[in-house]
Amino acid sequence: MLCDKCKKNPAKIFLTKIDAGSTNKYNLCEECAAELASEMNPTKFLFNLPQLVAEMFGISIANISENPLEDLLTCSECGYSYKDFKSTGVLGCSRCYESFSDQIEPIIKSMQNSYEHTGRAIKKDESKITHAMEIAKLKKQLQEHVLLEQYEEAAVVRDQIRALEKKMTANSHQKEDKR
Amino acid sequence: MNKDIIIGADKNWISMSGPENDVVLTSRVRLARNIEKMRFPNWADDKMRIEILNLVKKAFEHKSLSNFKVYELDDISDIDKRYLSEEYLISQEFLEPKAGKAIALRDDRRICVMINEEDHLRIQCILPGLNIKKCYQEALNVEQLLGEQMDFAFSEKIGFLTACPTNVGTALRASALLHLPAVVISQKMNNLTTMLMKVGVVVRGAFGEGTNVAGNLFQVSNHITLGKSEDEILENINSIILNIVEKEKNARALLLGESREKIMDNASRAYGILTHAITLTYEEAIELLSMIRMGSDLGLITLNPDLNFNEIMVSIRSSHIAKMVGDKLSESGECSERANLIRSKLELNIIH
Repeated sequence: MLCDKCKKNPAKIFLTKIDAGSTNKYNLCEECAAELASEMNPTKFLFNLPQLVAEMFGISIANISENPLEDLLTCSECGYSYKDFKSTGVLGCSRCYESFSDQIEPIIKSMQNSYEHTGRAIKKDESKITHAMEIAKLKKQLQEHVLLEQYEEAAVVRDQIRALEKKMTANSHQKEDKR
Repeated sequence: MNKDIIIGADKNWISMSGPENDVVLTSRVRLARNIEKMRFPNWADDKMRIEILNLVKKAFEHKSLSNFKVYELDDISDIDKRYLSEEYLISQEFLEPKAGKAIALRDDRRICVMINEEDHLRIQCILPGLNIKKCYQEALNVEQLLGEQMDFAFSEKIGFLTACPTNVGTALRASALLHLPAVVISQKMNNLTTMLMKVGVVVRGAFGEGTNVAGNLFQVSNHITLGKSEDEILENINSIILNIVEKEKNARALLLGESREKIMDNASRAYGILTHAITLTYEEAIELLSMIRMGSDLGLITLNPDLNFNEIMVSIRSSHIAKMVGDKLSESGECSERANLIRSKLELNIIH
């Protein structure tokens, strides 16, 4: 049997896609199957995998439980939502990496086989970075507490954020004075 | 306003030669960078993207970058846009009009910076032959000059931050365009692709419509951008390409021993068609040129030494033909101009 796509090579991969009421069969050679896979955005592919599986088994995606809390997450810096990331495969701003770190870290690890940069580094204002990173992390915690209706914990985190933000502005004023 | 930005079309990589040029047509390195505290282009609105463009424009006004010119996408004619994408200087998706999109093109057209593509900056360098390390040095040089005037989004933990997590870390993509006719004829391409996937190298058909393979031309590039240093990535892809070059050369030697007459017949028939055809589609022309090129590389056909295959293989693409004629052509017009061009390049050569 020849590949449906190139009609040249023998088909070795057989896909059956079941839509509502109809069944479609695809017979592909290794090359065309690999090409199809490489055409897909790898991040999107990861997210769509459950859907692909669901489609292949002919069941509705709603049967697969998703984490609704995850979809409500938004980046404190730019307002981009984790749901948007799942549909586009791209992030909203550089701070999104912090805001969605729990979700993104395993994705990066599976794509890159690592979560540690060992290449070229650029120098930055150290104190500012650590504070900013800490604030992003706290803001994420705050959001989670609010979503879970843990208001007391949320208030504690909010105060921590305020204290850090004060420190940061104080630091930058000091620097301006020195100039 | 449509400025003509492609002038002196011979002054680019296609007319030059480089190391391992009989298999490796070109090398390319791309660095992605984003400006700190600015939304990535997809999430930024028109106003923000124009603000980003203005920041980058200002940086390019610096005297250290005076050999670059910035062109806004809207100011580039359709033919020039396609021409640049056929030279791999800009991507297909970049052609989609959107506020704030622009390119900074170095005078020698070896470096092109895309502004507001998926990331704020995509610095790319293309050189002839196998020249990946030099490409990186050139791109890095531009990156450093720009970095003096803006802060890039960077994390100590995971490196340069890019819109898509597939590029995070070094944000470095190194690739080469390879001509692999003997590997394809010996039916070893599938094995090679599988082997390369295992070592983190992606293979794609190049120069065809979409991702279809045409003319036995393939683009290989690194998959992983995080957890390895730039030097490790470059060294790795470089040695893998050398390995592919060796495989192609071995396959050619084997073919020469086993089916010399067949290869010679293929090359001569291809020569016959290309020197007499009145009309040629891109796909037909590139397949036939691939056969002649291999025959010539193996010494089975002697062609004019001035004949530059890299140049012909690119100059027969649609926009290059349109540019040569000076006007957008109908499909049939394009096919006959293509046949004319190839005839004029090949006619003066002799077959043994």
